[in-house]
Amino acid sequence: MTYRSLAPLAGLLAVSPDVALGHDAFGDLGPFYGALLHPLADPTQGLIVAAIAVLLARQPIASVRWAWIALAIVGALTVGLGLLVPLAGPGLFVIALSAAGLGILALTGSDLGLWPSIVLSVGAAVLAGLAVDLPDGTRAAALAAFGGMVGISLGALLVWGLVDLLQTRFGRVAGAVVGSWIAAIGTMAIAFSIVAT
Amino acid sequence: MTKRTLAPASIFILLFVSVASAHTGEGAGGGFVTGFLHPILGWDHVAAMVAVGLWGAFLGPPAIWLLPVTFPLVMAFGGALGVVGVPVPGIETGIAASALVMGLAIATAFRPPLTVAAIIVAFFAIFHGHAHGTEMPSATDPLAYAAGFVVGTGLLHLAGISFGLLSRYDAGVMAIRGMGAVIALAGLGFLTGTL
Repeated sequence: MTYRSLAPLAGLLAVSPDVALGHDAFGDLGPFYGALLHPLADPTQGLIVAAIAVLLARQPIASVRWAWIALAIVGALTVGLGLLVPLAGPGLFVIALSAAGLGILALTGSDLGLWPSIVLSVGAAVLAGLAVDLPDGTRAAALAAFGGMVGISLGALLVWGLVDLLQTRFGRVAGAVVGSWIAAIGTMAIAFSIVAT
Repeated sequence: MTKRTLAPASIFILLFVSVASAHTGEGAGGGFVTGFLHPILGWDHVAAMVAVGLWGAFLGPPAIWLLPVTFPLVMAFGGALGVVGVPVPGIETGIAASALVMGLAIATAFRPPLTVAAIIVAFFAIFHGHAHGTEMPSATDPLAYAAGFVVGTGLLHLAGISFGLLSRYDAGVMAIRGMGAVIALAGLGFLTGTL
């Protein structure tokens, strides 16, 4: 695109910011994308997804493969169950305590083994699945559930990949640092949840 | 004005308008951003956080990672005290003193045993955490706020570590010690109220 064609377009957008601010790009798939991006919008769900992903990044790849599959399946089942039965979301205290524990485990960097990794992933997946908000309406709820399923598994995969990349570049200490951040956030959230109740 | 000059100007205006209108500070984003900026916009916090990373890098492994890991964990403890309303005396003094003490340690190339360095960092982390934690309950989204200030603090540590890696070179050591002196002077300024 040349300056000649760009100038009128940029000028038009500059004087009509409403066009850019409308952000109705999701259209009919709004519930899907809303739930897909829910870990970014809801800090409680984002924290637990990030916490288990960081822990998995500190584990051997052989454990990670099965643990992530378990996380994806159980997360999907939990969200799917929410379509059938109204489920209460996890409280902040439970999320915070879980995140702090996972962060400390990640900080230590010890090899937990296959089955403990799977069990922890399943627990985190249940909490993350319960945190998905399903709207009213069959179609909207189904779309949101699908988005929530993808969001949990994809979010965990992306964070795991990022931390794994950092560890490859800077050494395993990078994962320990991120683990300490997760533990710190979880600790603060525990205190707040106590005060809030 | 030609179209050649109009295009960049239009794009600038477009970006400016969008940014100004998009972020109202509400919701989780506002909480995260507020927490993220809290340690970054306070010069006393910045000086001390950079000093932690700088000192860790200056001391070398394992301090280079142990100090930045110790700090957020103990800071969270201090933050929890602030959240639940447990008073800690001399918060501002402690924050200012942290820059002074760690700046002096870097400037004088003080190399204490690792445990002592960790205890010094941990002690001051309580003051910084308490300052952040006190404001947490009033944040738009307290959890996002906590995440923001932990990440902001961590990135300041990384900035200090990055600069501290110059300690591999003789000239770099002098530059780091000079920066430590600047941080110590800033801490003195915070402590006396001149800054």
